[in-house]
Amino acid sequence: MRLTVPHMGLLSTAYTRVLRQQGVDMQPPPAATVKTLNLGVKHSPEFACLPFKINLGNMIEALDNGANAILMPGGYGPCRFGYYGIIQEQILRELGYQFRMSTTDNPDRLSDMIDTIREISRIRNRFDGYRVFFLILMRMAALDRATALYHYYKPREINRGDTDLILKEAIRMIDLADSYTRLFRTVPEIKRMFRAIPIDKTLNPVTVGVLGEIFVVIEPFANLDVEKKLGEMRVEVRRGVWLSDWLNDRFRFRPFRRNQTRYAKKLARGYLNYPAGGESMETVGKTLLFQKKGVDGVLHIMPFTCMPELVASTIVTRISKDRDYPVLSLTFDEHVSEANIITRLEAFVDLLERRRDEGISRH
Amino acid sequence: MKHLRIGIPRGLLFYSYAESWKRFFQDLGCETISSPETTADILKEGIRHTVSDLCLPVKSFLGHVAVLKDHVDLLFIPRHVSMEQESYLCPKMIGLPDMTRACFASLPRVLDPLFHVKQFGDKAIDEFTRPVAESLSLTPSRVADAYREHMDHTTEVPAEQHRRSERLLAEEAVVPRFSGKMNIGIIGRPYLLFDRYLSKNLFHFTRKLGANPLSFRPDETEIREAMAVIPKWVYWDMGKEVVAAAHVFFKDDRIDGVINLCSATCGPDSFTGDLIRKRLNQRNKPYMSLSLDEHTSDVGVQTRLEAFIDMIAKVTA
Repeated sequence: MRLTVPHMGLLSTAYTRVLRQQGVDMQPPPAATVKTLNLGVKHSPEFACLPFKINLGNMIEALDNGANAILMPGGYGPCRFGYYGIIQEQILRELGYQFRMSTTDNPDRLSDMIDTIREISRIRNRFDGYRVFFLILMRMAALDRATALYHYYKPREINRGDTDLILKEAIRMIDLADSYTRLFRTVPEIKRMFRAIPIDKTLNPVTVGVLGEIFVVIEPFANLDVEKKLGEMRVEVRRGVWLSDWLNDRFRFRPFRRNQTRYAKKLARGYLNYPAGGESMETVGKTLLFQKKGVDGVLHIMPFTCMPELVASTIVTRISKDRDYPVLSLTFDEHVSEANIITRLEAFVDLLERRRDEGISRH
Repeated sequence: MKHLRIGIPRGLLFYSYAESWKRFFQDLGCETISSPETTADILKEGIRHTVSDLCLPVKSFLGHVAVLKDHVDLLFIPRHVSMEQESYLCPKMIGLPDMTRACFASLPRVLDPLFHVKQFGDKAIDEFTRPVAESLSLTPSRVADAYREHMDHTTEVPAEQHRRSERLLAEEAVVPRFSGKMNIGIIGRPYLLFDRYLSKNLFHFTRKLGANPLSFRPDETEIREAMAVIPKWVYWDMGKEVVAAAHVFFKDDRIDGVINLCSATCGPDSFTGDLIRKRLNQRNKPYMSLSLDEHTSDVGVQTRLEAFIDMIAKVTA
């Protein structure tokens, strides 16, 4: 059985090597390209959301490369994600593919995840299951840590592209760190590498908080690499949604990190009083948080027709008006063009710079 | 004491529960005012206040809020999260009170009690009625009793009351079933089907073309049967009903064709539409999906309807 799991940001880097060591025959889909997207779009319902389409493309490409089993997390709403696997399986069967489909229907329950891992690997007892699962989570946290360092150093780098190379190297190193000991040795190493990048210490870059639907935020292919684009415009990105936070809120593997969902809920009170699914709470709560912290503006990104983020977007627009806080909402689908995104980002950054010069924002 | 005037915007869940809500508030000594039927102006007003790619029924709902807001003391916009143990409503309905507040600079007080069976189980009604009691200065038990009398008795089974109120609103739909003419089953969410303006008067035009439009709300058994045919329980309350209605129509020999009326950017319907088309229509019955947005014209809908009916006539001839 060759197992494939559709991509979600850097998640596959976190688990592929670990699961392979446990005897799982992993076949990660090739990194998403325009071809992936086109395949997904061609076979998806017209108004399905972008993550669905990209994931479907991932599945098709992985099956073409020899995978014969798919693992797709599920759930029970209210967002459409919980139903992805069902519709995707139906589409793939219609296309004539033969494969085994497994869905973990309750991604919030730890034992469900462990059982799924046990089922497909040669791990036999539950303790080992937990050990492997937590290693994957720690690797994910390390990847997120490296990305956060990238956000800090990217706008400040003196030689263009230095930071990108270091991030690539950092990802490679985390990928190779296949035990707890190695991982704990790698993380400080990565910090040293970033610190060695020659940077412009006098630069006080404009800061932009990036919020929105988690898949689009963490998947550079889906958001046309907005974070890198912002970095190149000498903007420091403060990302508000992280996959490791999402996992930590559910599985509590980082005891000193606060539960971000609950925190956002507290922050959002008055604007959004009940979570409308997805990252709606985080988007609303953290927009308010970013303003409090003096971040110059917020970039809110989401897939076209995303239900939870449409609620959030409506509310964030009100916050922006009420509190005179710049928010740019960008919607991503298969038709969005690079030039469009760049132009709008540039205009937004210009606005933030001017506000800063005029002393409107708190710095 | 002067009666408190409670405004109920004519949109979304209004089409499922309005009659019960009205009786509920009247029993509590309040006056209820609902907005008039949707018009082009109301929709335009809604579009003016919304900011993004929201779906047609939500835009229309906000238009109704705009019409009502200056004429009432209190706006009733309940937050229905789940109607049953294993279900949710669409995120936009969950966030509806907050979205409404975000769209208008000034609003009367919004009464937004939470209805959440998945979380509160048997206590859902008490949770729902407590904030109502607070804002009307009544005792919680008095309000809960009124709610039980006029709405559900058990939270899990949609009461006859609901169904009746829906049919009342759906006068258009109440026609003799299976009248010998061509029978067209129409499925979709109540707030689209029974809103004459948003649905482009689909029932009326179907009848004008000599066919008999039919629509109903599936009951528990029908839902369970439909869910058994598809691989996974549909976890949206209304989506589930649409799927079940489709299942019944596809099975019934007396139904000649099925139309699925949905909003173009409806999240759940983009998925359930796929299920309906591929899983449920085993016998390949004529099926048409009509998606609506604010740019849809009457003529466009009528043309497609005519073509659909002509096609069925040719197939059955």
